[in-house]
Amino acid sequence: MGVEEYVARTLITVGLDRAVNWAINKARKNSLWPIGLELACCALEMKASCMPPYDLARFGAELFQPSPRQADLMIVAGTVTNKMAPVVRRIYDHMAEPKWVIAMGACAASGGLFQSYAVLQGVDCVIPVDVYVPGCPPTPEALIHGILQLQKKIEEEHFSDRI
Amino acid sequence: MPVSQGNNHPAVHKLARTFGRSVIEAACSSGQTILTIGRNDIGLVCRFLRDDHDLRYDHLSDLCGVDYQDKKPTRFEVVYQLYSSMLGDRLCIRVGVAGGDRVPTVTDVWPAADWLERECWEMFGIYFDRHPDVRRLLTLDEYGGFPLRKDFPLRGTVEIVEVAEGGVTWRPRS
Repeated sequence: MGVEEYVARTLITVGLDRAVNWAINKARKNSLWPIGLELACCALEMKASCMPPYDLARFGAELFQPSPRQADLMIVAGTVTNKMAPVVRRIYDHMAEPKWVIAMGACAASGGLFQSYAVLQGVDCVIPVDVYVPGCPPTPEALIHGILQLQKKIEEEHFSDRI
Repeated sequence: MPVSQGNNHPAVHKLARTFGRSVIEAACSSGQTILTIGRNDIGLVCRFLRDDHDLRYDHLSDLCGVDYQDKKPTRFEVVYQLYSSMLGDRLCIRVGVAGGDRVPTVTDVWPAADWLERECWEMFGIYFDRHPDVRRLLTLDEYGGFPLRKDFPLRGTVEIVEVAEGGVTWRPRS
């Protein structure tokens, strides 16, 4: 095998990999199907973000799924109690790869104002979180910004990392 | 039994006649009669209040515990809020409980007491005798301690580190 051939093949392989990665990531980031974990008041803002004034459909993420098996983005909206923690973990485990998590609001990110025996101090104690959206509760704009940040993150990933 | 306004209540007379010294005190606050009953007779008293033809306290609207940390000899209290749909009247019953004491259950009188007594046990550690299903209600099964006791730290003593298929892993809270 000559050096030229080797280089050419490597270049082609690298090029193909990039092209496939670009295409798959574009598909992933523009059709995030969320499952909403509606645990507290943040859920209302999450719903509002799907409504006409904000219209989450513009970013391909309006199709809220009732089943974790059909979802690839989990939005943890609200206070996660200790009692709920195993359930959250279970729902997360039921989601098929690729899957991402947004922790929406102060409670999901850190326990918020509930520094108490009953509340999990951040959902990242039980599942990995990709994007934290601060606020109490965050406005729909903030959630949409979080989803845009997640889209950026997805674009920078290699698709094979999440299979 | 100390004399007060609460003594005009029909339930007070009937109970005093039937149960005598078990009715420790009858008081009146904001127009509501509050009875203090001996711990051992609470099951019988509740059954009487439900079944008596003139009273018919057929609805247990709440049952809760109270922790008076330094009160002697009974640190805790169980409070029953009754309602009679026949009379349209509410009655409050208090029972003093020392740490370690057991209170007769009222689940056989009002099935609604089931979850209320479970919560009272899990939060205050007040055990209800002959309760059909003593399990924790609002915290995880393996959670130790009684969170609503005054000497329980607000943030608890343990926190969750990990949750997996096998269960929850805890660690002492720093």
